[in-house]
Amino acid sequence: MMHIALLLLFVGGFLLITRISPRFSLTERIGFAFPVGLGAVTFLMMLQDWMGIGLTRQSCLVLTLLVAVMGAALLVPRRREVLEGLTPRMDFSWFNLLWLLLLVVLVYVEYGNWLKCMYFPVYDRDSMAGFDTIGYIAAQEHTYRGMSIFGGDYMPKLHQAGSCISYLPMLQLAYAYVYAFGADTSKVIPGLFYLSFIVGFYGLCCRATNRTAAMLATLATVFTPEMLSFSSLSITNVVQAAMASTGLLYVALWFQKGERRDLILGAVLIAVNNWLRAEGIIFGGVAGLLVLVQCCRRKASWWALAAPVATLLPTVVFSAYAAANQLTSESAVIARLYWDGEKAAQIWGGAWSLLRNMQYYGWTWLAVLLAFAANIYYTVRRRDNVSVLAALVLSIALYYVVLYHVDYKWDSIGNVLAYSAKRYMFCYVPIAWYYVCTCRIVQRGMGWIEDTCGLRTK
Amino acid sequence: MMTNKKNTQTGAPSAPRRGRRDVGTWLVRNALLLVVAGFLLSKVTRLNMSYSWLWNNYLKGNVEMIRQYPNLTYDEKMGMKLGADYQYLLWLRDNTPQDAVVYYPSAGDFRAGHPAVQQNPFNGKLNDKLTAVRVLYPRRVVTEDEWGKTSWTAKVTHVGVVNGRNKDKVPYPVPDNFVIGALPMQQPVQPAKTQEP
Repeated sequence: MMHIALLLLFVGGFLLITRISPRFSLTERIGFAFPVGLGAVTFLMMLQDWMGIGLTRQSCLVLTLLVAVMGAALLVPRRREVLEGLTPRMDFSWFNLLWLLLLVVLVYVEYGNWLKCMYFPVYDRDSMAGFDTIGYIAAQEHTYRGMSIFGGDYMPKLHQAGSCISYLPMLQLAYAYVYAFGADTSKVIPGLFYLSFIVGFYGLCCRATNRTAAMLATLATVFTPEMLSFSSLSITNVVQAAMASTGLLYVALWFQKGERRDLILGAVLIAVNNWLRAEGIIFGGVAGLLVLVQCCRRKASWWALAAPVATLLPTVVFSAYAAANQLTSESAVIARLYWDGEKAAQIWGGAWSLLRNMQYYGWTWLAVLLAFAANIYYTVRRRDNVSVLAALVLSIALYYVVLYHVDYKWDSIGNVLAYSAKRYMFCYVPIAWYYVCTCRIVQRGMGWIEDTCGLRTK
Repeated sequence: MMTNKKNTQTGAPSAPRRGRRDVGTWLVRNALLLVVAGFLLSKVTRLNMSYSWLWNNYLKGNVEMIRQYPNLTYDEKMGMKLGADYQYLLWLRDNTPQDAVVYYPSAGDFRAGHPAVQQNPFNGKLNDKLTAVRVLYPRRVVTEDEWGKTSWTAKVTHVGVVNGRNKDKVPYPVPDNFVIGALPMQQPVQPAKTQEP
């Protein structure tokens, strides 16, 4: 039953993306179908819970069907275009063995990762002490807001700053979803999410560069040591990284090409990211800045700003839901401008040490630096990939500004920088490799390989 | 010269191609490409220790281990990752009724050690309340920092004992040699269950 539900969820997401535009490649639609479907269904689960309808197997199935049917109904007027979009184009003129080698390595890496992810149940501390346990109990008790662990004085620390009660509930509800269908463990969710990300990210890269460079970017992203090892756990960081990075990249793609569909899908993915973690709003903020620049340059209508604003919908609705159901905790945000030189220096030091770290992120940052240096002529003269570079730099800077504005009541800033911040940086790994492989200089190199070693002569 | 090829699936035009490349030429060029790429890939993983770790330990190591033990149960896999602390949680789960309210030992209790136990098997890492709740559900859990501070203290039915700690929480005398187990709040008629460390 769970497999059917997950398949329906995938179909729902696929149809919703197709509704945005049937011109998205199959790879993109297949890749982002599961995250978008899961985001939609879990959001509806929260509304259903708010209305007092139990989170049971039957109600979850009805919600999933609702999303799929809604997606299908929205596509009826464009059915011909949709059917045409389902037929992949068979052009293999670019095919070379380097692409195949990279694919084989990628498949092996994800095979090993998937195997590990699905073999071990949830054992990491953060999930057992939060996401997975909350999802498990929500499924047992058919409610999120009324869970026994949230009630009375059973968990006296639950309303303190940093408590799991105030976490945005997408992942918890996703775990409740599979537990409601009788799963022993919730690992199928992070497993499928990461697999979807790989497919979607490759599809996205193919939009901006040739296939060999796209495959290289995908493999380099997936083969990032710390990120890959965390992808088989049940915590939010890698899942957030998948949504935040691809969402922002779609907005950067819109910036370059001006296709409305990219802005909408980017906004949808950033909204899913906002539905996962509160600090995800910084990616919506950076997307908003990119859109604002285009509006000021008169290259986009001011209405385009509605897309980054709409990404706040999950955050706003959850805030209302949490306030209405006493699921709030003490605020840890310092909402005023202030200067603390010692704290700023500590955060700068932490950020700098992570950006120099080749153990957690492999060659990622070095590759960005080299690509930037090699591409500097095109960056200056032709503004090549400036939007992606701006998205990368601005979002990193904003993330550390957000960290600066957090009042660390539940932990020390030293601990957060040493143990948590390395996971926050996962969001930038896909953006970094996308930047590297879509730089004109790298595209030229990979283009030369495809021209020289492809199946057809130029 | 730079090529401006786009993904053909999206409908974007790809660079025009003239004709099929000769199979021999294609094979020779691609073989050469593979040699260079294979060399570079193997070098990359050796130059950075974390890539080596990822390839040899994380990927190969896990795949081999999973192939070696394909049929472990859920609890065996969890025990493999979480050790004696998890075994203790399982023991609590299997030896208390579903409606029990369990006092769960603190990290300090787990790490304290005991003269009667040569090597303390616990590390105290499963000390978070929700972690204990996940394994013990639907039993309720009370922790050290809640003891005496919430209404649940009065409802505790079983006290978890590790390294001989927490015996003072039950209202009856407990023998000194009781090191690990759970004590009911109501004095049992039969001797309390114990477990070898």
